[in-house]
Amino acid sequence: MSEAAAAIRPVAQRGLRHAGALALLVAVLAATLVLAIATGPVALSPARVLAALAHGLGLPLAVDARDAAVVLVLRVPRTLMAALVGAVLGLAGAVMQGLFRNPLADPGLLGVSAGGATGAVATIVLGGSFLPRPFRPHATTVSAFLGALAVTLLVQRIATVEGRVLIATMLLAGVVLNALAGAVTAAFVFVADDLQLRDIMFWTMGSCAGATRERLLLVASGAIPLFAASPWFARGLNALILGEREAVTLGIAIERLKRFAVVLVALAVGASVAASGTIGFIGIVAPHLVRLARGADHAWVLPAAALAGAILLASADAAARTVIAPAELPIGLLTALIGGPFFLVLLVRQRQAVDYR
Amino acid sequence: MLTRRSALAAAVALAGWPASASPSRLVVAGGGIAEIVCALGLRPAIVGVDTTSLFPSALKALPNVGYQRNLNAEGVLALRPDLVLVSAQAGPPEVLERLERAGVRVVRVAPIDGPQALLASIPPIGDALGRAEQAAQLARAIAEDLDRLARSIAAQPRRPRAVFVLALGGGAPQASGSGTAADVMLRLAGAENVVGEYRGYRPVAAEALLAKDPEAVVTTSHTLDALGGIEGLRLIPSLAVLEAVRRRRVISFETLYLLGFGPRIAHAARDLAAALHGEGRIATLPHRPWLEDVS
Repeated sequence: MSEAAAAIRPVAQRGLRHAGALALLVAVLAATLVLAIATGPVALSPARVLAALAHGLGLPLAVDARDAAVVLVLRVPRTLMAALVGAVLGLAGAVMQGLFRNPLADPGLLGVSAGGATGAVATIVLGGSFLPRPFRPHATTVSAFLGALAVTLLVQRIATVEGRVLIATMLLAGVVLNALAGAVTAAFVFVADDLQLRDIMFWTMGSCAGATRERLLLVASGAIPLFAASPWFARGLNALILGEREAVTLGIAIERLKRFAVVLVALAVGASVAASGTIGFIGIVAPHLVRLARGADHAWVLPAAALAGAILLASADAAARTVIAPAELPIGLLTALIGGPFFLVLLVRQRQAVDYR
Repeated sequence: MLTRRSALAAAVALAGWPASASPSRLVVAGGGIAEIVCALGLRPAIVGVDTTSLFPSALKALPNVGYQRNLNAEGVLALRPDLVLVSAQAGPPEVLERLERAGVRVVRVAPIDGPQALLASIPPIGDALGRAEQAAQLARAIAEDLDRLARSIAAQPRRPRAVFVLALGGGAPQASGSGTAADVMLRLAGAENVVGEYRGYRPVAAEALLAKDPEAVVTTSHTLDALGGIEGLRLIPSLAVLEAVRRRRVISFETLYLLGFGPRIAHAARDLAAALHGEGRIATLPHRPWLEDVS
């Protein structure tokens, strides 16, 4: 009992133990952001990047218009979006793994990605010409968000019986609705022409290139509730490691936890998918990396997975837009290509440590 | 050289089939080829088309055999065709073989990757349709129009730098490198493709595109329409920073018209050239019957 009691001690108290390591991750993230903003196919000296940034912050500095466009319109928004989306995917992955008590769980199980894809593909094919003109540029984003949310909430609804969320049922409902959403997507793919197919294909590989203020705002407003709730999740998920019944006896409102976790993950990941397409692997790799580093205490895993996800995706995005310029690599391809083997090496080296129970 | 090779390929593809009377039940797969069939006056004989055959509009009302790369033998057979005329992309090959084994005459048109290949493909199609005379006339007319355009282009003082983009995915816009239909059309229109250094459609790095500073952005009308017009393009960061987009130098055409490599190719290239160089600078082409939409 003493160990169990320790597991659910208020997170703030336990978080102190991890403060040093978390501070280190924050420092690495800050360095990554700076490097990412300094990197790109257009060679800019650090002084010019800084001048453009200062200009963007409103300082009265004479700056070349192209420098300002490169730094302020192209690099800063997408670097911030990559970091934010990475943080969401890392944190959401960790929450899902805790919730399902399965190291391979990710938000995709809830149909977030499949639903988002259905929404996006529908708009790419149908063209949104039934919408009033001012709405059309945002049609893909909005319909992806609505698709992701609709499918996930349906999964949640199906798995809720008399106010209880049945995790096993949720898993099965997720499988079924993933397949259904996939079928609807396939129907749109079937009527798409060759050029639309290209747009669809690259949407499914993800990209942060479309980062605008509006999209950043969308991702941020989806992410904030999840971030804000994560200390509460950490305590509950730690208790859940012992089993649902045990968690209840420890005084955790387990049903509320499950309900909120699914809804907040759906909101956050839905917004991310809508803004940047489907980006795989971060939700699995980031939580595992931090678990391998310092164990499975959720007071550490949740914030650290968010930070690691942000670091990974911000660097992947900088690479995506630089390495094969003038072309650009799909970021999903990079995260899988680099994340996959890296993860595999860690897995083989520390097979015991991965099974976090 | 391309001409000769394509002509040879077309001839080989058709070898063994004697020139015959006009087929009466025709299934066509390939948007450009369907346009050729209609230009040869055989639209009434068409009983089925694929999803890429969208012009003239009357074709859209016909039974559809699906996507040309994914044909279904039984679906085609159910239309009781006496000739199945397909593009080089059509398939899968086993399905075409099965159709042949079922006694249907299948004619595969050699790959049409540009104006020369298009001209070379028309006489064999005419032979297969029993319209050799009309086919020769059609090819001659298109060749004349292309020549007229080429002379007009040659007289231009400079080649505008342009880029063709697709931008509906929400991420990095894809720009067409060399070896794409859009690249061929840009060159026909006397423009320089700023991303000609890579092959195929690729997402383009925003900063690299900015550095190349294209004078005009070309896209499909589907893309522009879906984005709600040029204002929509201006909300995509990679495009918003371009001088061309800021100055609203955005040109769009129907996908099949611009990239279909059908009989309207010369007029499409001419319209593109006029948009790029200035309307008054490019000679107009004579009106041709195959430009008419029939619904």
